[in-house]
Amino acid sequence: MTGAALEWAAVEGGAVLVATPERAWLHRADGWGRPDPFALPMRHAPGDVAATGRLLEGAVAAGLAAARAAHPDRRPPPLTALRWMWRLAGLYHLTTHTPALMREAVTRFEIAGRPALAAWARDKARDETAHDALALRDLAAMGLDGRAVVDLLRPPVPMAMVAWFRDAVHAKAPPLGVLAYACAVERLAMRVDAGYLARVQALLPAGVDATRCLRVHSAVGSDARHVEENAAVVAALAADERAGIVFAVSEVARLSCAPSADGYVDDVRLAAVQHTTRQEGRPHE
Amino acid sequence: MSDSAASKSAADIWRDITARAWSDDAFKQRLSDDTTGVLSEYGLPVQAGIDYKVVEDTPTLRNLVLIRPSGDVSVAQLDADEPLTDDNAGF
Repeated sequence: MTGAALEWAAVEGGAVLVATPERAWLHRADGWGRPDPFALPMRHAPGDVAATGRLLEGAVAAGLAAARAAHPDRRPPPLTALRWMWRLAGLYHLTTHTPALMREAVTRFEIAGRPALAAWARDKARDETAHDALALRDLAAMGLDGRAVVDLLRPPVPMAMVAWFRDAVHAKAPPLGVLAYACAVERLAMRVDAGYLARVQALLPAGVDATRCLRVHSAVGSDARHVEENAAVVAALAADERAGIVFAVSEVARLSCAPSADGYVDDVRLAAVQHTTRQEGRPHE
Repeated sequence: MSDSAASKSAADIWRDITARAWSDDAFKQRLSDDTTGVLSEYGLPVQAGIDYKVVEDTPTLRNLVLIRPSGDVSVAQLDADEPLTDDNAGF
């Protein structure tokens, strides 16, 4: 196995993630009594694409695990049709800022002299355009005024993720956090498989197609291809840049799973929003 | 716990132990015979349920430590037991 591709980087939770093209491990150094071969940062470039993919995936898993470890009492409410409205509002807010922020990232990458990353961000801006409209259509399919719903509902986790994304775009150039954000969100989207989509659909009244936005951001949508493309883009970077991105991926993943300080929105409030935004003559529960 | 342990890192303390073992055969023997006891005495963070073993290089033997990772990690593993709830659609 001499010369096998190996990538490693620190992640949320105080561990080092170590990846080969086939597997990823978490390694927690105790810092005494024996040498640690992963104590020093990796230095080779470019990275191996497959191992980098494992590293990015492992970073998402580590971030989710860190969130769960930090909130062991987390008890998210079961998903219902009413709460699907809340989730669609979150998808709207998560997607509506992406094209503009990615266009800003294009400019910042160009200024930093990183044309390949600028091209990547340009593609992202194009690919993600109008996905917010899908969430609005989904809400309309539920018999609701989508615009009114998203004005009233701003789920804190997606809003926090968008704030993280915005900060990353405006961070010191080149804004590599933008890559981390895309890597994390698009890999997280891959957790939604056909079975999950069917389970969500089963919550909705017959004939109501309100999973367009979710389908696009799922394993059956375009995000599967994006995850592989992202790994190739990250693998081409310098070792310290790759390591920074891996840590940031774990940070975004942790954020995606960390419960709001305000707790979970209650059904009474959601029912009130549903009532206020219901459109006459449209299907509803 | 030695007086200096509180202000030193675990790596600093292990360096002190190593240096003392090099110069004090009785201490080295005790470190070998009662490793956990000595480590605890020096304030190192020994974990319950873990055995600690000191091995010494010789002119003709170089010990190598193969560290053990804490386990495979992947997103798929987390998916397996994920119920359908309010906040787990990947975002």
